[in-house]
Amino acid sequence: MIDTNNKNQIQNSCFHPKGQSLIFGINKKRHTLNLKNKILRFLLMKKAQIAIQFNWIFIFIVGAIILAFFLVVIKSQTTESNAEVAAELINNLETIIKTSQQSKGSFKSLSLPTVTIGFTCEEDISFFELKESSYKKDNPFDIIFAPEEISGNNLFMWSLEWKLPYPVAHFQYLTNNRIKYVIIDDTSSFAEELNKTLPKNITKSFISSNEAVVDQNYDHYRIIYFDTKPTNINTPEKKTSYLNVTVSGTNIDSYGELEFFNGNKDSLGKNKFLKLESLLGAVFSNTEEFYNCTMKKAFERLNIINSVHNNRANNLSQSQIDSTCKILYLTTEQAILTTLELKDAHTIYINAQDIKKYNEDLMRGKNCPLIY
Amino acid sequence: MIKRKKAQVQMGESFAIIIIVIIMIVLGLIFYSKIKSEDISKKELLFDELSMVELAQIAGALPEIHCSSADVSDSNCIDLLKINALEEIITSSSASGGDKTAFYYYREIFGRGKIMIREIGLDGTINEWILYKTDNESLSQNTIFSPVSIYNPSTNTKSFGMLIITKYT
Amino acid sequence: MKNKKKAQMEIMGLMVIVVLIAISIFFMVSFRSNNQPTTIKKDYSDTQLGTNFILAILKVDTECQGLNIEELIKDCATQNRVSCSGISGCEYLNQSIDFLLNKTLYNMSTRFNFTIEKAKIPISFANECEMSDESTTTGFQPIPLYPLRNDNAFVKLKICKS
Repeated sequence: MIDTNNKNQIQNSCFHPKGQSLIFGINKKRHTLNLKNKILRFLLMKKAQIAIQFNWIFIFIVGAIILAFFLVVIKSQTTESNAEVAAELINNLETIIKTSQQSKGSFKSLSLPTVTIGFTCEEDISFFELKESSYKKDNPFDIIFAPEEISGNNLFMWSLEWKLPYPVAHFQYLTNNRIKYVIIDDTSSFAEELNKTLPKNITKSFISSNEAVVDQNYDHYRIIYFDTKPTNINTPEKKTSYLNVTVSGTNIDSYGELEFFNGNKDSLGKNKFLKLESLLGAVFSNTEEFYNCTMKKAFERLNIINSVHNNRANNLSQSQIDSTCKILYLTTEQAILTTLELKDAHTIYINAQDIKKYNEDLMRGKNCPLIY
Repeated sequence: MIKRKKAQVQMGESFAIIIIVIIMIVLGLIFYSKIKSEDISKKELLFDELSMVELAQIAGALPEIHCSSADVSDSNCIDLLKINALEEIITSSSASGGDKTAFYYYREIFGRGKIMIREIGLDGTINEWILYKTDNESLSQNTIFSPVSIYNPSTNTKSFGMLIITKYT
Repeated sequence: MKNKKKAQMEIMGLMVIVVLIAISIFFMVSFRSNNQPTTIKKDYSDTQLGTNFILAILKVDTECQGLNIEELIKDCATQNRVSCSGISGCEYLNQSIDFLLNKTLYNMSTRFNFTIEKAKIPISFANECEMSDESTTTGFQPIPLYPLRNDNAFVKLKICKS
């Protein structure tokens, strides 16, 4: 009898057909398994590769978002910081200009970061601004004479008191060392007087009418002449302007006529000046429009000051007993007009001289309060 | 299963890091904006004080009211007749129907403020003149007191006074 | 084990970053809190008071024989001859200055110390301010006593920090 186990063993052995088929089955299974494993491994590898790539894509996207966010923040901060600096600069400039106006006769040189300051004075509009930022400051009543643009890293501020004959206003003149003032000598002594009046720190020259003026790379050339026209100006037309002064009084601290020209020697307009401070205003303004607009502000102030003095003279004439003093106060009242314009320069000048004389009369031996 | 879990944990880790970074950035921005706004408030205060000092200097240096003896002006002295005249000019200009030029002129100089002069006589009399007053007052204000001498040309005497400059904020 | 170590190192790294940020924030906050608040207006106001008060008060014309305060001080520091309404010039001077200070500096609650040196009677007024205290400004004006004496009387006004 054959043993069952043995029988199985024999049947399962590789030599037995059944055994062979079993082995084949196992092998087939093993083969299938291997194939599945291979496929799985292959898929997993692909998955890993795809996963890694997805990971990288994910990192790139998030990184780009974060980078973009920070770039936007930096850009906005830079813009805000520039605006802050511009605002602070303009505010400080305004304070310096206003306080230096109060110290008459002062000349100040201010160091700035390299900027371009623009000045505008037109009908109902008056401001100065930083050209780089377009940040503006209105100055409807400040009497500032300046070119349309001042570029550079310094600023000259000069302040003088305008008197008629009492103090009326402080005139402020702004310029810098990039603007050259050329004064043409004349037959009278007015040109020399003007040259001596201008501060030494500004870029100026005093030449004869046939002497040449060449381009020395300044931002602007301001040519001032009296009776003798300059003939040898070789500076670029765009950077040149002319001012013709005709003095009607005995010196430049009186009154007279002005004519403004551009670089092509086309007339930009005629006007008048009243006292030296006003003439200097024309020197520092490049256009007739700017000069006229600024002088209008000065006259608004003159009318108010004249009203105060008129009122004061009236009160004095009523309170004083001395008849000679009374007469002086009454004539002063008549000499002080309150609705004046620059075209009345001659009348205003003569009246101012009369008031000065009355005041001097009061100073000499009369025990009465002075007119001013 | 373990590999799936591992992958999920890794993804979770990446997300967590990103969330934490975002939270840190947000906290940083909040902190920065707080500091910046504090800076701006300090600057605002500084500019307010500077404009107050500017106003005080301009009011104290007005040639319209200063005493003068010919060409010499006395900066610490105010002429009584000039005060009266200027007060009348500005008051009549600010009244409705009047020519507003003078009022607008001084409004541009003095802004939201009040310029007052108080005379203190030794006999106890106190006189006050309001040279200028804004049409836009507020409760919040800064005041500077500047002692001055008040000269009366009619009697040729001087008394003690205070130039009171108020700026409304 | 290696993975555990790696994770721990990563966490340590994050912790270091957090600690560094916390320290830098701490320094920034403490640096900012040291900045003093601006006192431009107060300083200017006190300077105006200190310097202009003396100049203004000296020019005040009184009803005492038509003399002004400066002239009364000169008399009070030298011969003390002036008499007004039954009281001496020095007493009148004392009362006038006291009156003006009451209407101005006392009213404004300003801490000050006002003295006139070399007067025959002590003329000194103070409001919570000693000469040794820290001051914002001190106004000082010498008054020449020539020809009666060959020196000066001094008027001092000290504005103390509040």
